[in-house]
Amino acid sequence: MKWNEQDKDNLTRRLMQETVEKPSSDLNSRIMSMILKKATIRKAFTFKKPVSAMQFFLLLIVYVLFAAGGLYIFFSKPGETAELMVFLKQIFPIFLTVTGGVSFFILFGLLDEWLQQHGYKIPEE
Amino acid sequence: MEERKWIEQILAGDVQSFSCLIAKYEKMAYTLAFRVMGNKEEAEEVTQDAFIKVYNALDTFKFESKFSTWLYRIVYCTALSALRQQKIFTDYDEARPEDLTEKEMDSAASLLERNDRREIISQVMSLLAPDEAMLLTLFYLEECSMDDIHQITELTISNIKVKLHRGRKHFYEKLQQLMKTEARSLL
Repeated sequence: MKWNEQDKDNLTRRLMQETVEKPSSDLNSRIMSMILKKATIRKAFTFKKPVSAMQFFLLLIVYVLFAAGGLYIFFSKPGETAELMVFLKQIFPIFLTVTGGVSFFILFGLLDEWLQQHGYKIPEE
Repeated sequence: MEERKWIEQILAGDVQSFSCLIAKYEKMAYTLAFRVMGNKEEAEEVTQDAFIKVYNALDTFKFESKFSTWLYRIVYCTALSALRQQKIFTDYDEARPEDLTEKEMDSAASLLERNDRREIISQVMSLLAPDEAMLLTLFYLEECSMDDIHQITELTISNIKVKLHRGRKHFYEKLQQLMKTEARSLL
């Protein structure tokens, strides 16, 4: 039989029919569970609405009022504030540790997500 | 255009619609990953990573190309980074290999009648270089156009033609060798 270019292409195509490789049956569910997990984490870290300039300004006023109130108490009752200062000194290391831990968790969580989005992978040994 | 509907649903928050995209493309994405990686475990890992990248970047897909082309490009790039290689394609070489012989074609045609054709062809594909196996899969199995292959691999059209020609020649050579070995072992 004489084979022209078209015949050769057709034969190759017919030979290769149904030679698609089959992955494990649970590949789809594995990918979906990873994606759903990711979507849940993303939801937890996403603000539904970005803070507007007006909201930011109002929040600032509230913080300033709180600070002013605290300072007023601090200077108006010197006896009680000394006790308060001792208490604050006691809880300060715990406060620092907890806030530091939470900050690092958020920072590394976001860093990990960013690296994965940009195709970086931690090299295996 | 069911993918457009699924993509719009996913972007609107229906994450479950992504499983429809996976179901439609997982076999072909896995086959391409398998051609490059050469083993099942790594190919599955590459397929999984590629689909997660697709999900993360879905809002950047603007339907300017076919979804399949975009997905296969991601699978190809993910496989390359898993191999820690910049490319699998050897440098450009204009020389075309000699054409297929009548003998090679006739013996290959006889394979069409056999029930174990799928296994034999898979074996032949595993003997080919990853770049040739991938190009043959894209062109003959997935029936991608030259332009699609150009978008996936970033090779020039003339380079794709030469590499396909060479890949096809190697495919039939390996197939003939395999059939000869098989015949000898039967005797």
